[in-house]
Amino acid sequence: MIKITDLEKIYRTEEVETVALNKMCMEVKEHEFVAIMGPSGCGKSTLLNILGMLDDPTSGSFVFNGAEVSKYNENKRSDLRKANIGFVFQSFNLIDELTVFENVELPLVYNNIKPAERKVMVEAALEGVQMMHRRNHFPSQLSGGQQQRVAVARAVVNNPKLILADEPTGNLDSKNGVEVMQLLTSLNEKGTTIIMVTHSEHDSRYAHRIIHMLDGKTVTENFLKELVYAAQ
Amino acid sequence: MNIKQLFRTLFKNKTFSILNIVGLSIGVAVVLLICLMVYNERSFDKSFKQADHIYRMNSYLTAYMPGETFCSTSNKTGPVMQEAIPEILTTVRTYPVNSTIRINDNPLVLKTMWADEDFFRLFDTPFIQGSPEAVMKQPNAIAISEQMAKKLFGNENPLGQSFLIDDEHPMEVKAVYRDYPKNSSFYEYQVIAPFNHSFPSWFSKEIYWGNIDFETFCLLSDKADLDLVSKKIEETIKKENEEGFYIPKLQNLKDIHLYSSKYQHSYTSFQSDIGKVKMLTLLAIIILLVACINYMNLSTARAQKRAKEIGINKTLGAKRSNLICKLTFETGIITCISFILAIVMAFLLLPVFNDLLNEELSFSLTFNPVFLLGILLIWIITTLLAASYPALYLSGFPPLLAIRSANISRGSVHALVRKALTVGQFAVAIVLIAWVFVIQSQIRYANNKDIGYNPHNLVGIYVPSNLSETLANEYKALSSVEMVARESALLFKGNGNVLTKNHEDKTGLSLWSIKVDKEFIPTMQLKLIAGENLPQRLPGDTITQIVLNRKAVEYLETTPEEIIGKEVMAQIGEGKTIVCGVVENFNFEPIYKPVTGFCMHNGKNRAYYVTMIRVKDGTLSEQMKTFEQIYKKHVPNDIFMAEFPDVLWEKAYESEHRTNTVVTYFSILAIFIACMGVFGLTAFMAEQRTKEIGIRKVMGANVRDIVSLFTNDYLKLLIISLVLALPVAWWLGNNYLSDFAYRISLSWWMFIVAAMITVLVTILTVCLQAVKAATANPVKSIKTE
Ligand SMILES: Nc1ncnc2c1ncn2[C@@H]1O[C@H](COP(=O)(O)OP(=O)(O)O)[C@@H](O)[C@H]1O
Ligand SMILES: [Mg+2]
Repeated sequence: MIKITDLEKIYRTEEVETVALNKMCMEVKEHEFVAIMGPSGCGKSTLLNILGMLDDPTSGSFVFNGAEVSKYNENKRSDLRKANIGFVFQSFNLIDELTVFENVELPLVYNNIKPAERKVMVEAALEGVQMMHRRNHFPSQLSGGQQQRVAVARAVVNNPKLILADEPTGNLDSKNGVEVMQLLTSLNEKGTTIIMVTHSEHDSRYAHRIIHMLDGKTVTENFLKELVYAAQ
Repeated sequence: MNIKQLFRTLFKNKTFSILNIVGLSIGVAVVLLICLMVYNERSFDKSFKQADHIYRMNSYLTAYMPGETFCSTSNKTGPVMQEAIPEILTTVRTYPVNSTIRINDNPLVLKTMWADEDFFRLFDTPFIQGSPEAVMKQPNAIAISEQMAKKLFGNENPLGQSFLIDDEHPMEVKAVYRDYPKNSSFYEYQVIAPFNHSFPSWFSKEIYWGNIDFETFCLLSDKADLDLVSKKIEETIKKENEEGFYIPKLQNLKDIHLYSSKYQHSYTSFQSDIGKVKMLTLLAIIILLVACINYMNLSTARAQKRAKEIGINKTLGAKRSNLICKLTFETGIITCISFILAIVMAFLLLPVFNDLLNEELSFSLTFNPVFLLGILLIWIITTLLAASYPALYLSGFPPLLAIRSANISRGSVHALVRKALTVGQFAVAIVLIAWVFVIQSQIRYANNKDIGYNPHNLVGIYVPSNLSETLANEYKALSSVEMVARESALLFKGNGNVLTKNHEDKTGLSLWSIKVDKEFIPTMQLKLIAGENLPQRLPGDTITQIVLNRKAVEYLETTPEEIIGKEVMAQIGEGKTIVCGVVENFNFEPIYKPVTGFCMHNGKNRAYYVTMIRVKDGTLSEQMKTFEQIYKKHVPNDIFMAEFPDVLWEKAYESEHRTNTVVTYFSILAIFIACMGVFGLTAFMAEQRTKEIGIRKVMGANVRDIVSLFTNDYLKLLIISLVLALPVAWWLGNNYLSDFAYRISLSWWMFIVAAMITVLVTILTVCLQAVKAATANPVKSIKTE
């Protein structure tokens, strides 16, 4: 489903040039559940943003469902994104002024789905995360775990093929964290591909496969172990 | 927050600070200028010590032109009233005229005020040389103004100098008085002299009720009750002058300048109108409000950024009142900066403003406690207005909520207030734009209206009546002259008569009349609709022939065709008055006055004093020299005086046009300030909503979705504003136009275009900001770790 080759992302500010992704290569198949781990600042979020077509790479190739998307313009990426990808963020990113229902409805609105249909889909998604009873609340009236469940509902309401989750449990206590992980697992079991960035050893066990990153590159687990060993 | 911190914040939010301060200072600068003007207008004649007790005796007409008020009264009214009514301490009759004097053979026209002895007792006037007694108690003595003394005699001593007035009356300068202030109705008079036995002759010869040409002032005792005195005056006139056609009415000296514009026969040329003053005052208030609303909107919009600061202050023990003080103080500093800027701007703009209004306002007027206190007051009001809402709003944040900086700025009552303020601003903008359209359309209409005669390529020359025929023939012989006509007064400035239907008709129609020759109607290009042109009067004719206008014929309830050859009761000359022709109505008065009766006659008793010359197109200015030479050939010592009907016509509207131009410019400024507000607000909203926009984009929104998100918000507000503004604009437009007898009718396009302009400008401003926000990289805006 996803194949990236020699992907590079360089941030240029006035003084410094940061290489966030350094000739990175990676492949993810359909129905996979992949966890990406690595120290802070190694480029995980950058990678996820590029995979989610929110940002474009400086160079390299990014093939999504067989199409080379690194050269797509904003509109084309936007179309591809809204049809295929759902997002879950560490900081939930719900819109404060909209109710739970309206937040979840948002992706459907932008996919031009009719209101009647939307209602059915939103309710199904909210059922799925057990948040139906809170449909008319505002995000500020919910706990962190509840907010993240709403964010998950929003990510899946459109039945995307791919869910990108950037530290989805980062702002949650362990109980709420587990609930969110179980939600993701069950989605994956229904066929959704999931790529998740995490710091947590515990969370990474839900994944089929772990990709380790260091300084903008993938590295093998053994390499990391050697590194730790050498350090000791 | 101390001042250093304040400036740091101001500097950090450059765009908003600039919008805030510049918007406010432009507004205040305009308000200052308008204040200056209004203050000047309202200060007229107040410098006279007894101004509170001095009244002018106007004449309220009960017949001839019933309902009209004249600024003057008969020469009998004053003395009779003073005799009969104890509260009237003194009366002074004045008769202001132009008189000609000759200095080294150069003729010079002076504005002269002939007056009763007590003139200077009523109007305290500082004398530089001589004394009131030296002038007013002696025959042939005059007082001249300081300026005139300098002009006439330079460094010589003016006292004792003498000259002939109107080439026959010797006068001697017995006193020099300091010029009246510019904000005085007497400023323009250069000579003040007593009525005396030899001159002006008509004054002493006939003292009677009928001639209401005397501007008469009276001094009431301190305790006099105005209503009672007025009643006594009415009783007295009914007793003394049973057949009278007017009732004297008192008008306070201080009201003369602003409240006489609807009156007839005013002598002072410095007349203004309270309507104009009120209009400008209203505009000033609107501009100040718009500028304050801007300030409020921008500061409350910025509130979210400050919420945390407020919250922390509160948790550290600050009371709400402390915070309100602090925030008001902050606003005070900002308004103070704006005021200083505004004063600088006003100084720089004053010459332009004077030019526009044809005034000579100066800020020296402002070095006076009332004005300075006024400015201080405006500053305080502006500060309180601008600070009120933001201070109450910000200080009311609950500390915890504020620190968490959760949902505090939208969807709440405060958002509603801000929306209401924005709606108010839009509404003001729409009303003002529509207003500008109405004014401009009316001006254009007035300029282009067919006034019933052709004032172009025409010149009227004053000639001695005995030479009128000779001169007319010589002018006619010139090749570039098309026609020459003669008349008894310039243009249509005829005598007031009354046209009545029959002996029972007590009201009558006011009928202006001039004597003209047979060339007049074709020369003026008046349209004859029935009958014939006026024939030359033949020696031995006993009847007087007249040409009426349509209005007069309509008053007589007949048709132009039927009235030809009939006799009418128009009191013109002796013998029968027979109608020989009818002309279409034409505007012999400014078009805000409805046309009344007009007649041209060939009566016996009037001579020709004005020669009207129509020249070939475009030759007028070069011919003027020739006309003067021919004139001087016959009367070498006289002043050649000419008037141009088209210039006169424009002059009649000049002050009106000037005011309207100022109103137009200031309205545009107000609109501009309102636009600045919208710009600032949308910029802020865009900034505030960056995260939301980011999320929406991640969820699949494209640029168009985001832009319409913004514009929809504003469209709603705009629609509400339209609903509010259109009726107000309509009402205002109608109100303004109702002053004109000839006016445009309000048409829907003015309002539609006004609305469209507002909508377009707003949407454009909003789009600019929205596109900027929508094309920003969402990754950056949603990053919140
Ligand atoms: N917008 C940006 N501009 C400049 N540098 C950035 C930007 N975003 C991320 N970086 C830099 O790129 C590197 C990778 O960042 P990121 O992908 O956020 O790391 P992670 O998510 O793994 O903690 C970091 O060194 C970070 O400082
Ligand atoms: Mg990260």
